[in-house]
Amino acid sequence: MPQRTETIYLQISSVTHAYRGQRLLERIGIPSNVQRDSRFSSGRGCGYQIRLRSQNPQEIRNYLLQSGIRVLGIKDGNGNDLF
Amino acid sequence: MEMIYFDNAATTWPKPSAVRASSVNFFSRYGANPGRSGHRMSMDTASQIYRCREEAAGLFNVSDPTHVIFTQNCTQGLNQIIKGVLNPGEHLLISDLEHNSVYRPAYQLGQEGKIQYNIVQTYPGNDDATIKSFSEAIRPNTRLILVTHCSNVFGFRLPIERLCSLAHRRGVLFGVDAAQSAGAFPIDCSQAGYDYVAMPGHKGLYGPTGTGLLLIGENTPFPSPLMEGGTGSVSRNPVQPQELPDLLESGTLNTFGILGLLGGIRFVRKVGIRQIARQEDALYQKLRRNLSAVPGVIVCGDTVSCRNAAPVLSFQVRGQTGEETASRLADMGFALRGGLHCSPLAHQKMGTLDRGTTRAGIGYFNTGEQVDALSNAVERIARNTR
Repeated sequence: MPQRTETIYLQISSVTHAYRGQRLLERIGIPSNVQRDSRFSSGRGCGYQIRLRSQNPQEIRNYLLQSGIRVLGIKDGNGNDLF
Repeated sequence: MEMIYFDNAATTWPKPSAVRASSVNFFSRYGANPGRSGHRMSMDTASQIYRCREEAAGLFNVSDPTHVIFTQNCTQGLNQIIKGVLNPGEHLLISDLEHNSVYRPAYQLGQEGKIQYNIVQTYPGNDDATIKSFSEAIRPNTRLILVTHCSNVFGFRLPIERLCSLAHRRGVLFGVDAAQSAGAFPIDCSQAGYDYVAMPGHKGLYGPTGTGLLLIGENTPFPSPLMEGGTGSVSRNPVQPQELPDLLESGTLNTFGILGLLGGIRFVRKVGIRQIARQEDALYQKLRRNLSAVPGVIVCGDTVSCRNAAPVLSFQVRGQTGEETASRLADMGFALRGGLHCSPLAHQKMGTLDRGTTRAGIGYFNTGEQVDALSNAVERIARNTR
């Protein structure tokens, strides 16, 4: 059964790395937005997130990691931890 | 009387119209603090800041834009390299052409007994001899070689690609002061493998003053920061973030300046560095020929040492100090700098320490007519001095 495409939020430590992640996703045809991590940042204090729609969050995380972008966590739209 | 500007080695003037247009966006669209808040203007401003990193990374072939660090000027970048890389007891090599922005921090740390350093003799026009000179100066505890790409007084160009190879072969880090070369000559960080490159934003990149860049190599140890503070990231942790650029960028950035710098870098990329270099070199050679033919004028550096030089020409009018000649030229409507140009080492090397020189720094917006007008003015001064 195909996986469902859903909105996910990649937690990134800084706005610079978030924008770099956005550019890297653009390169493989995945549109995304960078925004303040207002919902999930209380654990670390101050952070940004990349919002995108994806079927495979793990694959996205691995792709960014290969390019040096540390994804601190991935949440779904309800704030649940996916990774 | 309209001023004719030849002080481009201090800062370029005029700035391209794109720089002004880009800077004023600060007042209309991008005035919020980038990387601190989540509202629309803050995010839009942060996006423009990142765009500037991308443009700089593209111009200097830096593979990762997060390795482009904003500084206030080239001096800050050079201090960051020297004070952030060297550990107590380690050894630094600098050249005998260095600006005080390298010499003074090295001298100070040496006086305090924190580091050892040596000033290595260079042989402008003879790259093999320069390489040999550095090779012989490397010690077991040499950690860093930091040299100017081009002398800010005489324009001499050092063979930085070969020096970088030498340094890496010997396990030494390599940094470049690109104050006079960034935007004037191609600099390919990825291909050459430079560890650190510091540059101003307001000279060959045509941005506003108060801007600079520090480029960090792909597999290079990060320097320790000169200051810690707010970065807008992982704020609960009292430890400074260890990622670039936050590690080295505490406090609010100079958004106005960086927006202007973005316009400047785009201008340089649009025109093309090779085109800029061709145009400036043609004017440099013309000025060199003109002044060399004027009785009573000494043009510093011969044609061998000045081969492939930056478009910076120092000269003396017999019987005058460099400051006196610059002052007389200013009275005639020409903007040049006289004196030691913050580089006593280079003057000592060339025997011009006592009287200094008058320096013409050529920029993209200078013209052949302006070069002729300057040459005629210098000739009048020299004739009246005899």
